[in-house]
Amino acid sequence: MSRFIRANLATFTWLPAEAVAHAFGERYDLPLPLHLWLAAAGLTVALSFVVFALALRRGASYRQFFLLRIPPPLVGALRAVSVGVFVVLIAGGLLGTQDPFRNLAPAFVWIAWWIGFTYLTALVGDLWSVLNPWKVVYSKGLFKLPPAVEAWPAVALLLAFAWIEIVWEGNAVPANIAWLALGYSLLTWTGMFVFGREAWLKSGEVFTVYFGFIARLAPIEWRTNGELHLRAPAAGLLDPRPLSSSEAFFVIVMLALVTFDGLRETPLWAVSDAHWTAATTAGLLALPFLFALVIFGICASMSSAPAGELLRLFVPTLLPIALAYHVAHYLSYLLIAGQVVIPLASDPFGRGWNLFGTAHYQIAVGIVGARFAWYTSVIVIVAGHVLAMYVAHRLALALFSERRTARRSQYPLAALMVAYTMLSLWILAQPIVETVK
Amino acid sequence: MPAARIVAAFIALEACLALTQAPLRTFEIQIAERRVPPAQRVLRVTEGERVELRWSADEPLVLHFHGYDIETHVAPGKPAVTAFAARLTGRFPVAIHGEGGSKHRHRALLHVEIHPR
Repeated sequence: MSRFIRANLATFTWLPAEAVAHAFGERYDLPLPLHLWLAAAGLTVALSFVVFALALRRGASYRQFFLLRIPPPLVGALRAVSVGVFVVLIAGGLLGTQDPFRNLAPAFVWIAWWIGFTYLTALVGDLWSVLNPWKVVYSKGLFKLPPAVEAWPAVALLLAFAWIEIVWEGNAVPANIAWLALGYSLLTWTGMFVFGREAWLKSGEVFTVYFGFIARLAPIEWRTNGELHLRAPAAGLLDPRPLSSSEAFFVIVMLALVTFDGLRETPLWAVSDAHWTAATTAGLLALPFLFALVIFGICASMSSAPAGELLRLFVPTLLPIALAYHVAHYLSYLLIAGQVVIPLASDPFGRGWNLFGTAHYQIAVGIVGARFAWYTSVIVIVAGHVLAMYVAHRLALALFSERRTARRSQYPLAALMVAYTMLSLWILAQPIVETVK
Repeated sequence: MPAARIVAAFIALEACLALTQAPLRTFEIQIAERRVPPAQRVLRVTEGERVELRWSADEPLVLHFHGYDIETHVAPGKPAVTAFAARLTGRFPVAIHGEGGSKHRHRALLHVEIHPR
């Protein structure tokens, strides 16, 4: 993401007159101070013990309450809006100004959707299953997708998307975004047409898979029949069915990407300009494998059960920690830089329009300060850790018939979770470095 | 929206008070070859302080203080001052306008860190 931020920062120096966009795309985060880092770290460890002491309920079932049923016309209306926005973004990218600050496409895609929609999904559930603009194609498919394909296309697409987001220099150019969206649409509709819509959504539509995992953290469960059910946050992770290998690797890529995104902004990733692209690409591709190796090692020491099976069962329980770090890293950015969508919605092509009367909205930089960012970071990270620990514990109690075996299986996983949480906190305590590149 | 106006008035009032009463922090910064001394790459101040960045430079430059959005023109023999009341907390870059040319070569001249009280 911050490649886009850097790009913005720089483009602006060219256009000193752009008052609105001046604050757009920049992070103003102060590193987490030592006393808060220590408090959060201490709390993380202490609460880990609390989870061990209290999480005794057997089984992986959870309570839920019927909320409401979404009327099918509403689903149709929502999808129509979504398709409309999608068309505006592509048209704006192709026909509008190519200045990333004055075109809606970059801000909408990289800030409002990729960051904002992720948080919205974690809060209200799998909204993507309704809004997905590619779902307008209906097909039973010509061929059956070979079972061995699993979700590997989605894994490859997630890595490609992350590379575009983090490494590719042209990612903020509106026309590039439009062409990528068109290319991806072609790929998705071809996949749906050839292999059937539902099969492709599961194995190749990367955002369905991605938001599907994020939605497991939400306190609202969306059923295919349109019913919404209330449940405890992260209860969606209490699924005793192990993932497929590809899905498990997809989750590992999600975990690694969040960490890598933060890591490469720290002084640790001080790579010279000449090697930046190559080194960052290599890091991006290598970290998921490193994560997989470490997690596999942890699972191998959990019990006598096969490590691969344990990994496929327990790896989603790490997601709350990853999402918590993501929130800590991006929430103030979303709240400040994300405001740019307000003026751009009125003038999506950068042609001087004022459709909703918000074209002259000025970004309020002071909306959140350092203290807000610090305290939300610490609270969210500690909460994410506790949720992860709790869910893993419950799953273990469902899996192992003996309580002692279940408990023993959690020692290595708890150690991993504490380490992963500490790594997140450590990254937050580092100054953001944007001099490289 | 009256509430928003009241808040805005308070912020303005606070800024005025800060400007008149708060302690003054000054930094003498010499830019040479578009660089500042390493010790001045990060300037730390506290929320509420009045801050003056007193610039001198070996070539004409336009400096932009991001976030606070202040532009300062400095030239050889013509020192300039960026003055502000530190009311927004965070880490804000000062950049040279027009620096580099390629969008990837952009770098901040220095950062001002404004820590909460």
